[in-house]
Amino acid sequence: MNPETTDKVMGDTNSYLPRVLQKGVVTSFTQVAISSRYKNTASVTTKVLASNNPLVDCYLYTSGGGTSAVILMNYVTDNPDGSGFSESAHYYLDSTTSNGKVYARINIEIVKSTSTLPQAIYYVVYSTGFSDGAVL
Amino acid sequence: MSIETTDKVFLDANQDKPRIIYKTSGTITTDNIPVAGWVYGGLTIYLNQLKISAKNVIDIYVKDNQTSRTYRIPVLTCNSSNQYLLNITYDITGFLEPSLNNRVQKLSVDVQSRGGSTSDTFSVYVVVYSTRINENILIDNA
Repeated sequence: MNPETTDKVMGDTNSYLPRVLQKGVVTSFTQVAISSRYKNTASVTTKVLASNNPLVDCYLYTSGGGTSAVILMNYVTDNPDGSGFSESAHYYLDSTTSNGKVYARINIEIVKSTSTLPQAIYYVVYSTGFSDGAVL
Repeated sequence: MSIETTDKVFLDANQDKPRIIYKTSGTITTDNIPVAGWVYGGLTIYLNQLKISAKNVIDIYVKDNQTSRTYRIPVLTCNSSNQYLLNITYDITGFLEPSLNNRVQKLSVDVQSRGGSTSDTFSVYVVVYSTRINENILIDNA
């Protein structure tokens, strides 16, 4: 792969430069109790065909007590008393079929030590796949 | 990094756009004897076109071929018993490449899986970006 040069080709702009295809926010989660933790899940079917293997970023938004924060997923936080993890947030990609087309899907899983629902997950879907072959 | 304008905004930061300069892939097969219910596997990829000084950005996606789930790593998942289930991490170190008389980047990806078998496979996809395309970060193989 050539770096961008004065002899620019279509690939320089269309393939090598990730562009945002879709952005959104998830605020509704399904919660189930598992042992001493609570698992919160949500899924987003993107508008991007799975064959593109799109790059995806997810950020968890949290606020309260006069502060707010966004955290780039995936991450795990520990309880300060050493009693195990406090929050584990990750997402994975797979595919789903709709009207005969196969779309990339974002699946979010957040396991917390409290039943407080997650506030929001912001996601960003970029062009230029993580692989040129079929993965999802 | 030079400032492009005096009133710089997101959209005019042309030199700061991350561009893909390298893609590669590999496969991890768990091959160690399970220890306390865990199986392990690892993969080393030499990014031979990249100097260790490139200060590039890397995204790594790993597909668990047992579940068909594709994660961006690092990731740590939990099962319904609050046990850690799947732990995939990576690190980058410098490596002396004698044929190029230079230090290149050595990428290591490690998988730990609870309850897996010794023949589980994980597909690894690496995307390398740089916002420093004006600098000499690519090694001339000529």
